Amino acid sequence: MTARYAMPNRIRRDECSITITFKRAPDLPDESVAWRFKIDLAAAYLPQAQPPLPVAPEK
Amino acid sequence: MILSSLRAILCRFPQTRFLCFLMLITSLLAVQTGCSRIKEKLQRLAQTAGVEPAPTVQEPVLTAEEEKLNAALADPKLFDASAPEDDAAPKAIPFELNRSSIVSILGYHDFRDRGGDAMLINATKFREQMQAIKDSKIPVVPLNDVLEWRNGRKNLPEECIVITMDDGWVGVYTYAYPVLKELGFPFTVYLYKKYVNIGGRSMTWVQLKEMMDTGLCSVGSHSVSHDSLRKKTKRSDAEQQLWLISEFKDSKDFLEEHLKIPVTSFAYPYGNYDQAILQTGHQLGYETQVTVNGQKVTWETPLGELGRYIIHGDNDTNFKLATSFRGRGEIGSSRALRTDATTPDGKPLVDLYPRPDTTITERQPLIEARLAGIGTIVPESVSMRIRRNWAGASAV
Repeated sequence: MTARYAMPNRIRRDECSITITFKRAPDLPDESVAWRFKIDLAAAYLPQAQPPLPVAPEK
Repeated sequence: MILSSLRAILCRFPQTRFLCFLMLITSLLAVQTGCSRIKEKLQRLAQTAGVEPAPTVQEPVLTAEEEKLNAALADPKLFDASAPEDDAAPKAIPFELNRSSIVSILGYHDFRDRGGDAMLINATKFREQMQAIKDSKIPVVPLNDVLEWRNGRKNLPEECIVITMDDGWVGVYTYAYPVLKELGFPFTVYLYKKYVNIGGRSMTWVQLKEMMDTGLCSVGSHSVSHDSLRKKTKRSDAEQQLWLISEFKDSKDFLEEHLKIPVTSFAYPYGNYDQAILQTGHQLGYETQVTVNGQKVTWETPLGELGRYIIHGDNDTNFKLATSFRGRGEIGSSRALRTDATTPDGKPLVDLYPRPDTTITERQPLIEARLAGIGTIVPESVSMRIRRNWAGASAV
């Protein structure tokens, strides 16, 4: 199983914590996995690297 | 040749220079007059021949606004590519106060290595509770951060926990402090004057100072006598007020004198207080006062009535309530997986994006948790909680 979430808005803070809870069976207790990542806000505002331009075939 | 002849004449007869200059001016005037005459003659000829004269270009009359705009455009500074010094300096990201934070204050009392009752926590259970908080990644912050937040000087994470311990039992030093020190959790100890450094099961000044030296432990007052601050019938109003003042002030002075720190937080004995008690404490220098009302602290909570969840050793109800934020279930009974957990054959249990503890530049990332390594999961049980914090606001 894959849990996926597309952030609807841009994150304005520099850190984001995620907690996913789930059960392996209805009668078992909750389990969770939590992690966090940081957002380099300064770098986020810089121009992003562009894909390389196509190279013209050699004649 | 003509030029060289002229130069020879000018060198030989310098007085002829002025004459030459006059001749030059006269020639120019004659040419201009001639041009005007030619122009007039051409116009007369065109009229005679029935040809329309070429239209003359008239400069448009500018409005006052256009004149002003032209004057502004003429300013060379307008096109100066170099930015002024103030703008060139990198600007700090503006401080944005987070008023949506929720703080849960836990209130403990005594600790033992085994057993447990309402006011006494088993050391093993305490470690489990602290580990559950650590695993849940809910930050634990010092009580003073709540004050700083409310004064607009610091941000708090969206959800966070404050740990407090009342009375000054030696069990705090023996059983709770090693766990808190290991996990790096700050905590506040509320002491009452009659039960500090008096032997028995009270903490000593040395133990208190040792905990404070780590920077994790702060101290607040819990009164002088630990009596309820509510009025007793045998006291007159004046006697009650004098007694109340002494409970607040003497305990504060006592702790400040021995520990050489400002004591600005107070815990009401038995959680008993009313508005008169609250105001008296505030007037005597207490900036925060904590109760035993099991309520979370928000931006609107008065600083004289900060709710606390008293954690009991004989049931987990209050711990579960305290660590459940915004109705998303408690952490006390959940099992937290490590992000780097693996199956017996070494395969990762979970695959997480963005990767844990990395720094990304995408402000609108796709968050993904591949849970296939775990095996069967009840689809309806899956929920995802996202918190956005300022990294600097986190204490741990």
